[in-house]
Amino acid sequence: MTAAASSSTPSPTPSAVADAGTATPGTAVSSGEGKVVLQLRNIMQRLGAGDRQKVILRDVSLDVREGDIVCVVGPSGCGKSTLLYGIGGFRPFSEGRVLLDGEEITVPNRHRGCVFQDYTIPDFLTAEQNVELGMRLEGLSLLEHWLPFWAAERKARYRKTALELLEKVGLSAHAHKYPRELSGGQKQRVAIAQALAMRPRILLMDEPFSSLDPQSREVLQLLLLEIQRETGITIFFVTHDLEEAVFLGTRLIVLAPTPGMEGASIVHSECIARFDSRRAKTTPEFAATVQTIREKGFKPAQAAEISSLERQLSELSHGSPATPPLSAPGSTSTPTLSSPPPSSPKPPTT
Amino acid sequence: MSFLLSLLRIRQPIRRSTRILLGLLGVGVVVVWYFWMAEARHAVNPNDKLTPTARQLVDAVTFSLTPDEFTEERPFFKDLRASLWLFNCGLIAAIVGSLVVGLLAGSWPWLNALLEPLLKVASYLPPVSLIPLIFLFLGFQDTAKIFIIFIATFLPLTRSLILRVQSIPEKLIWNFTVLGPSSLEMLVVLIRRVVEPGFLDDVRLQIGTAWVYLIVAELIASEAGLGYRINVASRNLDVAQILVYLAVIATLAFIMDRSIDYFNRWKNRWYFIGTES
Repeated sequence: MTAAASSSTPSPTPSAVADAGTATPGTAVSSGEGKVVLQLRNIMQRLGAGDRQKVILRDVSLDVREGDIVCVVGPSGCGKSTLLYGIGGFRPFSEGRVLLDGEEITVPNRHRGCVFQDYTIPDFLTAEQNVELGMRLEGLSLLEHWLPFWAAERKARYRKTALELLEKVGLSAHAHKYPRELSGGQKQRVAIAQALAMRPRILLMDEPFSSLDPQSREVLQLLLLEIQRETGITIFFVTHDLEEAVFLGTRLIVLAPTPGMEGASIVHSECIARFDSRRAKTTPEFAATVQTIREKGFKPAQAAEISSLERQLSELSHGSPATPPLSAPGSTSTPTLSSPPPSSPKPPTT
Repeated sequence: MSFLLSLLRIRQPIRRSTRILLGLLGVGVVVVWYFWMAEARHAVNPNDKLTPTARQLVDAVTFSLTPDEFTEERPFFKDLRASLWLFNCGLIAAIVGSLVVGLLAGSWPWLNALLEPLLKVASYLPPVSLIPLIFLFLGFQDTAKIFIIFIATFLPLTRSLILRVQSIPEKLIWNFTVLGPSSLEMLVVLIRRVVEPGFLDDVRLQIGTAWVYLIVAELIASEAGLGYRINVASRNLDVAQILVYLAVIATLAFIMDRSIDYFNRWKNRWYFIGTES
């Protein structure tokens, strides 16, 4: 496995587009090759009104190229999901432009498939019907949808495509089941198949595997990679899990508040080498990539705090030589809980 | 002892056969107690009018099924036909009306803002208090009685449906939107399916209300019907007739409730997965 590299490949787009590395808010970040599918320009998102108005996103610009898996990570509550909702057209941005294949978009449409963490598929349709749903809505009128013998050929074609997609996600044996009969991981597979059935230009995924157990998460990560390799689909993936982002992404973007300014912006962007198997997560290269991005992308103070807390935890678990021993019976000296051990490092202030 | 303790455990499941037996036991205890009390009262006072015996109840049933000497029609079937006609017209109109208004007002906030104050105020007015007005405006014919049943059931059904539509998770609506349906498809194909099982449960809950207002309307102004017959029987102090007709109303309401429930479970099987006992 090659180590992750910061890409400094210049982009063919105008000078507003910055190279990878630590990004300056307002300049678009991009990877090197491929046609640009999605462009965000000077995105600002504010919530609330008047005195209570809060800036959530500040000056976010980026390009997403065809075939990329762009993973967005950041601290909880920084605005990652808000960014995705705006790209999807569900909560339009206060300022800025979203362009899909060069055309400005403001409302949701089929060209941007979505997979959310929960409420991804309706409960009243079986897995097969769920995958068919978008195709039927697109290709059939309301009457044709309801009347059983109308447009039979088209309905058969949609059913065949749905079954093929379910087989691709490993659920052909569960095609007749309702979502309440499926596990969380199976529901997410149906959601992915449903999104792919619409042949979107880009797939937006908002922490789709967060509520799953680690094993299911791993399986679905590999499935997503396999589907992406087969179809070449462009993916915009939001996650709070840095390891997941490094494993899946070909480009990683860190969204975080910048010191002294309200709202989150892109503070770091980096191209990532492709990792193809579970075993890659145990390699030193993978760990190094995660560590590099954690140190570069998150606030240095935050990173230092995490390191310090990890150190203290380790000392508590294994016992520190500097920790004063408990008093023996009859001893005159009594250690108090209020006074810290003299050799323990002071946590850095933020 | 462990069996008794298990009875105290919350949500302890029971078998279907146990459920049916317990249901029959509950009704059976009341029925047996009544007949025992009636016999005891008649033993003290043979002319007791308030608690008819089994024999008197049978006589009341026979009377209802005996053809009238002038019309040759059996009073029971005439009353049943009249009441069921009014009941069905009123309730079906309320179901259709509340589906349309509820889906639309629940989906479009501007429409909800327009209609909500009206619906709220109207629902706070007891339908009983509106009956004199309804009869004044619509007369004493079937239209007025159907409208009474309609207004009594339409308002709670509509308000409940609006809340159900508004409770649909936002992300589910977003998922629907991405698939590209038209507004009509969104309402009819998607939103309606989500709220349908709960709406049918609401309809079941309104069956009792519909019967109440049907009987009230027939008590005031009618020439046939279950409520009308109860009114006539009460003037004649014929408690046996009243009890027979009350049993008929209860049986009809039970059949309607069960029918809607079975229909719901058949049509919306997905909703009941994991709840069958």
